[in-house]
Amino acid sequence: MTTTTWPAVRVRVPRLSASAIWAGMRRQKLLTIALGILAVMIFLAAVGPIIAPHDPESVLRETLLDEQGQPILNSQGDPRTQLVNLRAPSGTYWFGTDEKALDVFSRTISAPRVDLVIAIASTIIGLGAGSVIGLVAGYAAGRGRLVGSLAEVLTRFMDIIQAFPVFIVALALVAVIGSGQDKVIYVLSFLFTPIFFRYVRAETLLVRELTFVEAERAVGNPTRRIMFNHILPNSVTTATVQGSAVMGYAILLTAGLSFVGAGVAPPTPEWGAMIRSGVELMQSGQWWTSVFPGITLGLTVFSLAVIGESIRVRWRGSGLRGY
Amino acid sequence: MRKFLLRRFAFLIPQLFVVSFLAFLLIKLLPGDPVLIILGPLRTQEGVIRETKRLGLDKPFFVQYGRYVERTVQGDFGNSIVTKQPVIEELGRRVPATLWLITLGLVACVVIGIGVGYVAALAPPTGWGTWLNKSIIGYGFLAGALPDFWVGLILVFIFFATLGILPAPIGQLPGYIPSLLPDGPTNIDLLDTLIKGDFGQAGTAFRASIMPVVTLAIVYAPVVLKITAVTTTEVFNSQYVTGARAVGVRRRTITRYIMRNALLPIVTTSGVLYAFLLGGAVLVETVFSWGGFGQYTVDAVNALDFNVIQGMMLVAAVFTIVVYLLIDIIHYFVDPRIRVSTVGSS
Amino acid sequence: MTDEPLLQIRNLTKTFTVGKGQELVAVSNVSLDLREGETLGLVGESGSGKTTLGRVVLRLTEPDTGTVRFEGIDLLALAGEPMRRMRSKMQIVYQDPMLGFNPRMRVRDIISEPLRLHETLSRTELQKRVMEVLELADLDPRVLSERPGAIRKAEQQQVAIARAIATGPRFIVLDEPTGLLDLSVSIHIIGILRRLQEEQKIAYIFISHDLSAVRAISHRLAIMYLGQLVETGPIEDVFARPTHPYSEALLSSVLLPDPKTTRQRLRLSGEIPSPINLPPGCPLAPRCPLVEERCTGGPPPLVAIRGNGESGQPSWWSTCFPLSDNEENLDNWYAIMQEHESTETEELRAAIAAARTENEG
Repeated sequence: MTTTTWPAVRVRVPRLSASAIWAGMRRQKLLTIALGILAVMIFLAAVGPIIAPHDPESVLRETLLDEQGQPILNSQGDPRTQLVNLRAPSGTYWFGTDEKALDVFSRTISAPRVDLVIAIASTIIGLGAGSVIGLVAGYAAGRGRLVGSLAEVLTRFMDIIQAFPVFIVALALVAVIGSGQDKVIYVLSFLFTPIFFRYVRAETLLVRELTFVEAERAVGNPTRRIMFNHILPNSVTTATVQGSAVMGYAILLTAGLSFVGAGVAPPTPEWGAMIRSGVELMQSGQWWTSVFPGITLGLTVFSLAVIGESIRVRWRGSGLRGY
Repeated sequence: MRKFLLRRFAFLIPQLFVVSFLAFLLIKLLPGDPVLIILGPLRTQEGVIRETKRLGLDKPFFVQYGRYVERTVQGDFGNSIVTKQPVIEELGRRVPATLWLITLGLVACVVIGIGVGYVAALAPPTGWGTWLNKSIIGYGFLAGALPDFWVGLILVFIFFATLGILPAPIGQLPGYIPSLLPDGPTNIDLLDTLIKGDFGQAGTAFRASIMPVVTLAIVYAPVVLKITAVTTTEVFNSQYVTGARAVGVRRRTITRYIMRNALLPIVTTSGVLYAFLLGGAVLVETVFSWGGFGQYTVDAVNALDFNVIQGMMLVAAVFTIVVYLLIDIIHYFVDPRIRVSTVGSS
Repeated sequence: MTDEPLLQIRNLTKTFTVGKGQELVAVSNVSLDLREGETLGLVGESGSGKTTLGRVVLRLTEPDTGTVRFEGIDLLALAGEPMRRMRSKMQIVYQDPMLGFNPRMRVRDIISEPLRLHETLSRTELQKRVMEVLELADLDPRVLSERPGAIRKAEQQQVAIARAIATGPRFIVLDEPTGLLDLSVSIHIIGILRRLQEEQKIAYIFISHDLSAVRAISHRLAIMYLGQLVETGPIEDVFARPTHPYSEALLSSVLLPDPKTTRQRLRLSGEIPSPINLPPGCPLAPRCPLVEERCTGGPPPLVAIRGNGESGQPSWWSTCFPLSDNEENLDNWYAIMQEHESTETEELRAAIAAARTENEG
């Protein structure tokens, strides 16, 4: 608890000009790169499957040609075709094709729609649920015998959920509720709730002791308004700052689940599921099917981590927190 | 003093209780009737009734839970539906392999993390020091962003497929048919072959463990590295170290000061990492067909083998709880100021 | 003035538990009246319980025992929603206004919030009311769109006052509202408060260390020591002739119209003790030069100095065992107190001499 003043920091937002942005970008190269990558990924999540040179989910075939370059016809007189599988990267198939004759490039740029959506949705749901439960638990802690002990039980429960290794719980939960993009979102939301719960509860315990909360009661706010309009906005910041990192974690977990066949199933384009084909192919030297999705995934998570870290540093450095 | 330990141990009981309840509840939520899964398609009406009775599934929920706790305490985790083998035996064979892998992985992470982190923290803030620190920060971000299974595959491509200097990712002892694997006392192939004195096999087993361990080290060493660099820098800039340096205390003594004070956060972080690796190793095991706990888990989940899922949830949670307990005890003995602190619950 | 006081506090006690079995009696058996349009100055050292008393009266902290009647209504018996609605009639202003503001709100939101909570107003009505309140608090409308951190300290306090008066309250607890302000600014704020009181007949409980500020605004004075009210009476009377030894010591310690005058002071020995686990009896007993055996036995008696006021409370009273013997003959009591006084300079000389001998020895 603290009685320090909320600092009278006045955040001046400088006018954005081209030269100011340029100067900022040169000062923060890493952050600029990260924001650039994230922007590309968001763009791909929006239009990836549309701009992809090939259909990410359908098998590629090519017409067989004879020495003269004429199509070879079958007995019905139709051209004979064959699957274009396991082609190395080329001008036509930039990232090559996989063992099922799907275009790796098209799938790689279509995957953000799956992975990024899962990451964003599960983080937001987890943040929402964790914040509300954390707020209630923090506000109720130590107040009255019944309410206080309920809050205590809730907190212990959240602790114990976290004793289970995340990935194993995720696997087990997917087994229970089934796989697919929506199911993965539910599972991850559930797993992220305790993370945000902890932050918001801890902050709520601090914020509820600040004088302004008493002042808001004196003014005549009902308890619910004090909690949600006055305490929550002031106790949710630490949790929100973690959001970017948790999103990265969500992508890694999604990919991991799909990698063992429990998350999002093929032919839906998903980075982890794509990397899975490398388990056999890497041994025989066909590196492209998993290298490209892996790099793209890595870049995305990397950019989220960098952005998260820079938000954290900036937020802490600005001294916006009074304690 | 004993009071803290007693209280800490007493906290284990509700923890285990809730953990077992959650593991039980989860399986209750599984879709499908376990009896039908067990009996398969060739079942009779009487068979279903008999099996339901035998498993006690006709009893109320809490009676079933009571029976579950009773059986579990006696070491009976039920039989696997797929292999029909007792789950506890299967776990006994597989858990050591995983523990061995993640222990080696943790040791690698700690050695690299502390070594590099310490150098980075004490490096001069100019020239190569800046360069080193920047590289470490970049590496930390990047390694944390890469899926461990992908890194494993890249290593396979480089060291097996391209260079051919390390064995194929097909188990702890590549080149041996699983049924012919040495059935040693530890269930860890490298140790068992050594115990048997078969150094040829032991060499193969050793070479087979290089890639998975290096994978874990690459991806997870930054965790230890970062905390080492941060705490060492903090301690190094603290007044008592600055003071000691000012009066000319020898470098080696100062190093000891720093390590002693930076130790606790590093121990804590390593412990948390150890608990995390149990879950994290699942994917690396899959890549290297390690045949451990993780792969067993994946197979069980895909086959809805509920007894196995229940068992491994329990093992995983107990492992985590024990690791956190150890961290608390280490804290207690290293830092006498600590009276009430629980990693798992603070 | 009506018969019934606006606020009637009876036998209010608030105890905090600190640590194991440690009890801190912050407010002990306090009874007070506050009339419409009246200012009660509440003074005492830090830790005397003045702030807690203010908070208990507003039911921001629940007391252990006692009653608070406001306009004849038992506040402590009110349930959540009726109590919340009652809050439009009673307000608080803090020493540091910034601490009282939600750091995310702008001045406009801060001032309009009580109006939105207690009245249903259209957008234009609300705007009109905010402007009125702003004018009452002598604030420039330009501050409305600012964050409180961006305006001057005095303006912050004016915003706090504006928020407090927005719903037309009957009384306001002013918890050291000038404590952090420069003298000139402080005078400005007190001017605003006095004008508001004249115009709107608001009653104040003015909590302060600053005795000259208290004197400038209060009609009556209440002096607290370690959770207990030791003396209450009309401000000028108490200032002129305090009857309680603690009042005497406290009030004489600050009045310095001319620094050159040497002055008679009642000297208390030692420092204010820890308020935890106080022994029974007069809390001043361990420090009082007039202490007698009975002072440590039980709670000191209430001595009416002047008449019985309305509702059973004397208008000027004090709590002291030795004083109760001289109830009929106050001059004798003042004489007794004077015997125990010493001049500042004499004491200083004695202290210097003592220090010398110590050095030589």
